[in-house]
Amino acid sequence: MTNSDERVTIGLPSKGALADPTLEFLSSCGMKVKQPNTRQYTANIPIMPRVDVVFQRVNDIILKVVDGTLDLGITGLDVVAEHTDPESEVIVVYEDLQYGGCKLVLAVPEAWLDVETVADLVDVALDFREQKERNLRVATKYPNLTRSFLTRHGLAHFTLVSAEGAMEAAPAMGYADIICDITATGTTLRENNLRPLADGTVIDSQACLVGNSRRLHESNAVRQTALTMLEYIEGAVASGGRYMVEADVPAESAAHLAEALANWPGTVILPATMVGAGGPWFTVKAEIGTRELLALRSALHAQGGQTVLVPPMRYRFAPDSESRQRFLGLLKHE
Amino acid sequence: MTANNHFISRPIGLRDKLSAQAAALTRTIAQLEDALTRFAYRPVETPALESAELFLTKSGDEWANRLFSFEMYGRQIGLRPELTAGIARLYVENFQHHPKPLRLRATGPVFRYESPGRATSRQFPQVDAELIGASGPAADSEILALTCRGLEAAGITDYRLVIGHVGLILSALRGFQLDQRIQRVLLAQLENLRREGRGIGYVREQVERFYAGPSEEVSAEAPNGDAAFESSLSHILESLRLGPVGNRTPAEIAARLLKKQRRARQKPELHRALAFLNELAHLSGKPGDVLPELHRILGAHGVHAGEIDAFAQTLDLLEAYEVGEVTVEMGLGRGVAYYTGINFAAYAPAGGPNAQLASGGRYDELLRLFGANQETPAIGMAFYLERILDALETAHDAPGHARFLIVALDGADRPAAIRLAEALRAEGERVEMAERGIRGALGHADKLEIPYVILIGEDERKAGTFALRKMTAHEQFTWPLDDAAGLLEKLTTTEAAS
Repeated sequence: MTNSDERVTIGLPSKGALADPTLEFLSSCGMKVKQPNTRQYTANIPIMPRVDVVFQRVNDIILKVVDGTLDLGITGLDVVAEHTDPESEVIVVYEDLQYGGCKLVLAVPEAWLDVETVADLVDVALDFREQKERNLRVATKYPNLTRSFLTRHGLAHFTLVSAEGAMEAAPAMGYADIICDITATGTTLRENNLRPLADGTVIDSQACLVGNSRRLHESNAVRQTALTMLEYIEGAVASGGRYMVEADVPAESAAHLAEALANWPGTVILPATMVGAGGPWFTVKAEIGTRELLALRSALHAQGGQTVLVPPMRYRFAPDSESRQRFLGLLKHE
Repeated sequence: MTANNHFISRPIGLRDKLSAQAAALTRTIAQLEDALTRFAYRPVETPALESAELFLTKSGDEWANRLFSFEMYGRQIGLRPELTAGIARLYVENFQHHPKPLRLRATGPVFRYESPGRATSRQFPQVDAELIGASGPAADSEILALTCRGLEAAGITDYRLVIGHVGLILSALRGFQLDQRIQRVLLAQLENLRREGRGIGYVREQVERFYAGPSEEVSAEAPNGDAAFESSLSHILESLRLGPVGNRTPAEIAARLLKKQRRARQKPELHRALAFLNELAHLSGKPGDVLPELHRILGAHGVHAGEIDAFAQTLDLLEAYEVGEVTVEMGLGRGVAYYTGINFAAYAPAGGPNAQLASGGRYDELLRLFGANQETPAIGMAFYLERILDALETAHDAPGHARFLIVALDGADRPAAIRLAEALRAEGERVEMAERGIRGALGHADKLEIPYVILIGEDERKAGTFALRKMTAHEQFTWPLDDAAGLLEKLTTTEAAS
C-alpha cells in the first residue's frame, strides 16, 4: 500500500509517570504535539501531518500496538515485556528514550531480616508450604514477568495476587506476603516498610518506541513515520550532553592554533577577518561533551580568544544511524 | 483504523493433523490402550480444564511457567499439562474406598506453553497409566514392562528404556547430615551435573546461593540451636517494631535467621554430598554392571540406601518380562521434584535426550498432598503420542475416500438412494452421497478415485433397479435396488477375475 493520504496512528501515554515527560520529550526532539483541546483524547503533530495522536494508558498502548489498532506507540519497556512474547507482532523501534526510568523489583517486608536474596525467598516459600500449608502470595500488576522471574530462580510455590494500585499496602493488609512492583526511587517502598531484594530486579525499564510489525511491513506510511521519528529521536538523544563551542581566536597561523588545541581532535579552524582588529584571526568550532567544556574554554582564552559561545545543541546527526540500521534489520528478519 | 480482514491462521506452536496423520494417531492410541488393557488398566476420563492449583501443587516448578491458565470470575483455571494430576484428583474424589491396587488409564491431549522456537508442539496427546495403592518391585516392574509392551504394540521395538532412582538418591543424601531442604535443592541439580557446559562447578554455585549466611548487620553470635537465644532474638525483633511482617511472626523470622547461620556452617558436608552426587550422576550402564558400582560408591562415601535391594529386585523382575534394551542412569533428572522412587524414560534410538517416547516414575507422596485420607503409594507413566508417531516414520494409510458414490438424478430419487446407501454401509462399505448432478458427480469420482458410481433416476426407480458405472473400465450395468449384498459379491468376483 502506497496510498499517499494514508493515516498513521500513534499512541501516547494519557496519564501516569510517562504522560508529561513524553510530550516534553517529543517537543525537545522537534516533534511538538498539538492538542486542539486538552480534554480530547486525540491530537496531532504538525511536523508529521499524516500522523494522528491518540492518548491512552501505557498498558492499552502496548495491547493496541499488538493487535494493530495502533501503528506505533510510546510506552514503558516494562509493559511491553509483560504483554508480549517473541511471537507478538511488535517491534521495539527505539528501546531507550532516556526518560521514564524505573525498575520492576521484588520487595519484602522490612522486618524479614532473614530474607536478603531471591534464594532466601525460595527457602521461605518452602517454609510456607510446609508450615502454613499454603503458597507464598505475591501481589503484582505484572503476572507474566513475575511468574517467569520466580520460576527461573527456582521458586515454585507461589500464588500471584492481582492488584490495581496501592499494592505497597498488600503485605500490611495481609492479602499478599510480598510484592513485585515498579519503583523509580524506592521511596514509596520504604514508606510502606518494604525493602527490595538485592538480586530481585525483574526488569530495568524506561520509555520506548514500539510499532506493530505487520503494519510496518504492509504500510509504507507507517514505516516512513517510524524512520522519521527514529531520526528525530536519535538526533536529539545523541545531542544530549554535547555542545558546539565557537570562538574567535588570534594566532600566527592555523597550524599554530591547531597545535595548541591538539587535545580536541576534530576541531575545525577557519580563517576569519575581525573587523577593526589587526593580525590573522581564526574561528574555532569544536563539538565536545560537558566534562571537557571548562578545559576547552581555558585553552581558548589562553590563546587570546574572544567570548566563547556555547549555544544549545538541538540535534546531532551522524552520517549513518546505528538504530536505523538495527530497526531495518529487525524488519527484514520478521 | 485498520481493516482486520486478514485470514485467521493457526496459533504458533499448534498443529493440524490431516487424514493420514489423524488415522495414524487413532490407530496408535488404540494399540497403546489395548496394551494397557491387557494389564487390566481400566479407562477413566478427566477434564482438560482443572483448577490451576492442581497442576502447580503437583510439580510447581516444572509447570508454573508453561501452564496455559486464565481467570474466570476469580477462579484460576488451567489446561492440563499432563494427565497424572487429574487422575490423582479423580482417585481422591471417587476411588479412595475401593479395593487396591487400582489400575487406571486415560487418554487425551495435554497443553504446554513451550518457548517459541522449540520443536515441540504446544498441544499433544498422551496415553497414561497409573497404578495406585501398590508399592515394591512387582508394581515398579509392571509399570516399566507395560511401557515397553505399549511401545512394541505401537510398532517400536528398538526403544531404549532408561531407569533412574530418585528415592535411592534422596535416601543416600540423608547420610550427609544436611537439612532436608538442601537435599531437595541438590537433587534438583542432578541433571545439571551431567549436562554439557554445566557440571559440578555450575551446580556448586547454584547450591551455595542457599548457603549465604546472614549478612553481618543482622548476624548474631548464636550458640548452636539454643532455644533460649532464639526466643530472645524474637523478642528483640518484636521490640524493634519494624512494621508489619507480612504474615510471618517474629519467632518465625528469628528461627530462620538461626537456621541460615547453622546452614552456613554445613558447607563441608555440602561439598562432600556434592562430590557423591556428582559421581552418582555419571553412573550409567547395564543393570548388571551398575548395581555393584552403586554399592561401591555408596560405601566409598560412607552412606547407605535401603532402596538398593528392592531396586535390584525390580530390575530382576523386569528381565522376566523380556523387554528391549534397558540402561540404568542414576543421573536421570526427569521429575525429581515429585518422584519418590524409580523414575524412567523411554527413548527412540535416533532421538536425543528430549525425544522421550514415554516416561514415568513413583510418586508416593502426591495423593496425600491431594487430600487422600491415608498414605497411598502410586506409580505411573505416560506415552507421548507425537514422539511415537515421529519415531514410527512409516506412512500410515488413512482410510481411503468412498468406494461408492451414489447419485440421485432427481429429488424424488433421494429416498431410494438413501436406502441403498444405508444398505451398503451396513455391509461395511464407505459410501458418499453426491451433492451435484451427474456431470459434477462423475468429475468428483474421477478426482477422488472413487471406483463405483451408482445412478438412480426415474426409469431405474420405477424398475426397482439402479445403474452402476465402473469408473476405470467405463462399463455400466443395472442391478436390483434391494440387493446390496448380491452386488458386493458380484463386484468381489469380477475384481478378483481382473
